[in-house]
Amino acid sequence: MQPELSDEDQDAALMQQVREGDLVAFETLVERWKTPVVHFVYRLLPDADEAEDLAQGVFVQLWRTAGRYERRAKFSTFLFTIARNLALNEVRRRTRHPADRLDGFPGAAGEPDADEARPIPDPGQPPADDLAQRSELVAKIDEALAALPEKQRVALALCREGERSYEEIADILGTTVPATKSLIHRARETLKARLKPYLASGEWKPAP
Amino acid sequence: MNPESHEDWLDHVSGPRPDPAEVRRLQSHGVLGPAERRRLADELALNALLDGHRPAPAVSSNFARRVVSEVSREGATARPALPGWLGWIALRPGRSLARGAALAFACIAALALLRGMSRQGSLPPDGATMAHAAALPGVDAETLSDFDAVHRLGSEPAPDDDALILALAQ
Repeated sequence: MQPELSDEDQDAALMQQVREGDLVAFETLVERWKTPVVHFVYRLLPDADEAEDLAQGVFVQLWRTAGRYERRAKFSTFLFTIARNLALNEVRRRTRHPADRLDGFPGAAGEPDADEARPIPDPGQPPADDLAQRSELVAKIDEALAALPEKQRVALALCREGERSYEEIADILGTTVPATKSLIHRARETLKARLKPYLASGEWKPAP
Repeated sequence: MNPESHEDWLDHVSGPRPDPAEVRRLQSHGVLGPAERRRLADELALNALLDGHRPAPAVSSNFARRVVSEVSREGATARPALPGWLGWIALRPGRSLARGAALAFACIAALALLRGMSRQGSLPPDGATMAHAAALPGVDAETLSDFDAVHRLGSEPAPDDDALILALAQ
């Protein structure tokens, strides 16, 4: 009986098949990694549809560059390096052209108006005041995250999403472990200062 | 006394996925000092904000199929890029001819450039060098007919005649 392959070995074996043009192996890899990639991108582009579109681009790029993958590198490092690059490109593009959105995103030309498409509130939902406070908190956090320097933001997103170690995050960022820890530490210090009123047990606490 | 290394527990709590059991241990009485306990509470609160403010979206069930369709649309028979220059001349029937032609053209252009550079070494001196040589005192027509000699004259400034006469007179 053959010993069971570890997840890492399975990914490496699938990538070997992808290098040879195997679309079935490719689809299996996409299935295995779609959730972590979409969630990572979502932390940098907080819109579910856009995150999916961009994640789709990440996997297409993975297919195109599969030939560059070497087995000695961890597959997830290879994949998240692509994801980091594409997400950063999109964040930079947004900074230059704030009104632009990815194609096919609701609200783009020809799509129904965002207000029209909004679902009717469920009577079982929390009262409107709570929702308003909640959305204010979400906006504040998004704002604070968006104001972080690019590298700190990506390091933090990689740190909070998935099971990546400091070593792997450092590899994805192309830097050292101490530098990675420093990026994450500085990002967190900035966020704690900006979000101080909301930090009490991680919940909304309106200023008195 | 605080038995914990400040950097270690902070790295753990603010790093990727802190272990809940370890966090509980740090929160228990006597492990951290009062200031560090407050710090720990802040770090955990920030984690809660970062992870809870936007619930992660569910990924579409047809996501993988969409990706595969996209890849297939780009070229169903296309294989992923081979490493390095091998990838550039990938054996794809539709493109290999054009790429081969481009490669041949690049080789011919490089050869022509190299040949041109080697010929330049044996070319006669240009007009500016000839004019400079003709203006030099003591250069006669016979010298000028020897292109190599003219070329060796170079373009350094002419010697200062007055300084030369003074030096000889001493």
